[in-house]
Amino acid sequence: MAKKLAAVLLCVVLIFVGVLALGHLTRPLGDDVAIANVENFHKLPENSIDVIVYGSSHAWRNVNVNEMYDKYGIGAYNYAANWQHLDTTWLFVHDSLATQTPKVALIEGVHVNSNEFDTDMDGEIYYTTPIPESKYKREYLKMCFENHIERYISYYFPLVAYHENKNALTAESFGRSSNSIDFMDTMGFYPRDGVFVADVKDWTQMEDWVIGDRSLALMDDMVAALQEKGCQVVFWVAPWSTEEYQYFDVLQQYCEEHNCGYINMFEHMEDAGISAETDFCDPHHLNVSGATKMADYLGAYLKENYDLTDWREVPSNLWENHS
Amino acid sequence: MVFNSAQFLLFLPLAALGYFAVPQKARRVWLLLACYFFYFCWNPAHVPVLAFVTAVGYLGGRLLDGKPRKGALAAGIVLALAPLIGFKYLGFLTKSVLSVLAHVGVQIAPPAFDFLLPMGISFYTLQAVGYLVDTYRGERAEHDLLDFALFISFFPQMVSGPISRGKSLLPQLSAAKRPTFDDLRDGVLLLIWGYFLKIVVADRAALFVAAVYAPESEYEGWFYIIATLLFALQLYGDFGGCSVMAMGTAKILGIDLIDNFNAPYFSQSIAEFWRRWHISLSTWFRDYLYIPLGGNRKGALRKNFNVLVTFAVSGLWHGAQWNYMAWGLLNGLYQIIGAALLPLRKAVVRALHIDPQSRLHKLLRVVVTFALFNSTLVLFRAYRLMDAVRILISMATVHNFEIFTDGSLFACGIDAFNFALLGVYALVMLAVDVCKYKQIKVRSVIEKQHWLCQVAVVVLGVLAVLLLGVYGPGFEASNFIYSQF
Repeated sequence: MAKKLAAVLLCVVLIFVGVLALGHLTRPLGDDVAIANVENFHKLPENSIDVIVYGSSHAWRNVNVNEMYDKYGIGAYNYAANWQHLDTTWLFVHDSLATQTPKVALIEGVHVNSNEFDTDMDGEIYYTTPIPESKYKREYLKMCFENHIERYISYYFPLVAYHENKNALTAESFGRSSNSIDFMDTMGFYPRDGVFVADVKDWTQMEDWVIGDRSLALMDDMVAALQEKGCQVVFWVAPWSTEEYQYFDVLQQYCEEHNCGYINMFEHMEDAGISAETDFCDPHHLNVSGATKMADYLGAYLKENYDLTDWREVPSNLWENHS
Repeated sequence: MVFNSAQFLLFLPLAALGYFAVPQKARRVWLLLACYFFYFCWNPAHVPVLAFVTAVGYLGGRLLDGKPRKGALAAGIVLALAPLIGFKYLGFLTKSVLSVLAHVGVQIAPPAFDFLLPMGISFYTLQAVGYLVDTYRGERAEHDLLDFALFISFFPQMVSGPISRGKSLLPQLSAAKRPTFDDLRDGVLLLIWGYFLKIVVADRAALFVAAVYAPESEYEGWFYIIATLLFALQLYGDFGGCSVMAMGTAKILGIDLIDNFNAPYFSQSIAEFWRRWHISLSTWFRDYLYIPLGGNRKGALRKNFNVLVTFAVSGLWHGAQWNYMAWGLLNGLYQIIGAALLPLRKAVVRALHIDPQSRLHKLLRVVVTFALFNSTLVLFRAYRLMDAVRILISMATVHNFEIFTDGSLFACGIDAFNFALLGVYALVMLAVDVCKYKQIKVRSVIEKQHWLCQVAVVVLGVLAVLLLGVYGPGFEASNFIYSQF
């Protein structure tokens, strides 16, 4: 009897270990970079960050937060990640407030009206796996999965996620090397070199659209949660050169009504010295030079409008040894 | 809840654990609750249908017990089949009648029949009918309503059968013996093999088949030939896998179900094929339709007629569409022609001095039988009869051999690597069927090994299925083909 019981238990244990090991081997490596940034954020000491940058790759690749420190002594972290819709940004905001009490939140608004819950395990949903369990994460997953048990299994067991992905993924998804960025050094910023000559459209000619109720509800909740913690909220829009952006007016109006700051970087590109010829690395994102200029401009705005600690005067701070 | 759903993987251990743990007296009640819960999860609205067929079968059996009344039998059969006819054939029959009327100038708008077919209805109604006929023929009726309800609603056979007989299943359900460790091991091994057949083989082949056979597809010639060959693999993996999973699930509960397949693709004639494929359905039609029609007892002409009727009904059982009926008839026709040509074939073999027992001769017969069955599958897989005709013409007339070299073959749902994988899996299936054909029981071989070796087989089997299978929310989960019948 003991041998039979041992056989059953051994089967269960070995299958469980095997599922985890195979899941690790077959996970899509394309998410490793975002996962590394989320994990790095959770290694930060509690309440150590004054300014947090939120949003999609338009935030992640476009703000070299170390420049804010170098120029203005601002202690900032870039807690963004690629492909992020507003609902995922909402999760990131709530997740960050569990350990940090930022003075200013910079929320990039390219996806301000996009709250399609992610249905692709190769997308943003998968890189939320290292975010610790909380009522916000449970709510986020419930919104995304609509109580489909298979999707939860997929989320928690990478081996199943691999199968869910296999249809859409290409060989490249698995061929990419794991993350090589030291996010503790870049403080979350995801740098990229290269030059792309961008064709940035005249923002004043773009059509005005409205923001949907669902997005407004998510924005209201984020703003309320941040303001409740004494954090000032600034919505900003980074320039890019593909689709037109239709929410300048409505976002500005929202910010006025909710006591939030608003920066339209399409409008201030020239002031910031960002060149469409030399400061983009692709049609959507700035290169390191552009991201540094962007951080410089935003840093100056923050320094001028908010009472922020000059961390350069604080010994052994998180930013002083960055490369 | 089907076998390849996450819910089932949660449900089965709980149902089995409860069945194992509760006292013997409560075991059948527990199992019945599990069966009805299983059915309830599929569609609560269909539970009364299952209960109705159970009531008809039980009361009919009691009426016929020791008193062979033809009227009671007929009434019982009509009532038991009524839900099946209502849900599955009413729309088809109405549409067919209206179509005939339209040809003679009477135009009537067809009423909408958009019922969802209750899961397993084609299986459990036939099981109830078989039970009534057996009781009429003198077998003892089941007096315990609980046992009978279990007999009709036994959840492992709800998805795609097999269609069990009362004399084999009822005593096992009634005994409700506690499952042993050997039952558990056997059941798990069967489940692993079933999952391999279904989600590793069938669902991968299905990606190509579905792409090529799509209603608006513009594929031609060899695409259809390859897709039809893969459909043979898919159908066997899907239905065979489901049957093995049903056996494994039942075995975990300590109950033996009939093995529905016996290396069918090694058959040397269409007649033999149908003795090895979907055995529980073939024997059902043999015992409850072909033999009552007269079987082979009333001359060759009548026998051939009976064969055609049986296959036509079998075709319609698979689906209320003309192409299924044509599929059944074609199989029946092959069987009749095969029997008619037997003397000629024997004469040719003698004249050419071919040893009928030689491997080459047997192999040739196997290949021809497979090719004949494969040709019928176009009717089975096509959406409509006219689609099947178009596909068959395309297969015969379009010679687009370039698809093997220009890469287009690998752009229809599965790439070259997955084609190669399918080839390997087909070889594994072939090897297991060779063992089955030679009456070597693979499970018995595994059971004789050291216990650590058995553990390794189970663990590697599960991990192989999890790694190689086609599943997950991103896929259009291929439901079991036979669960729709």
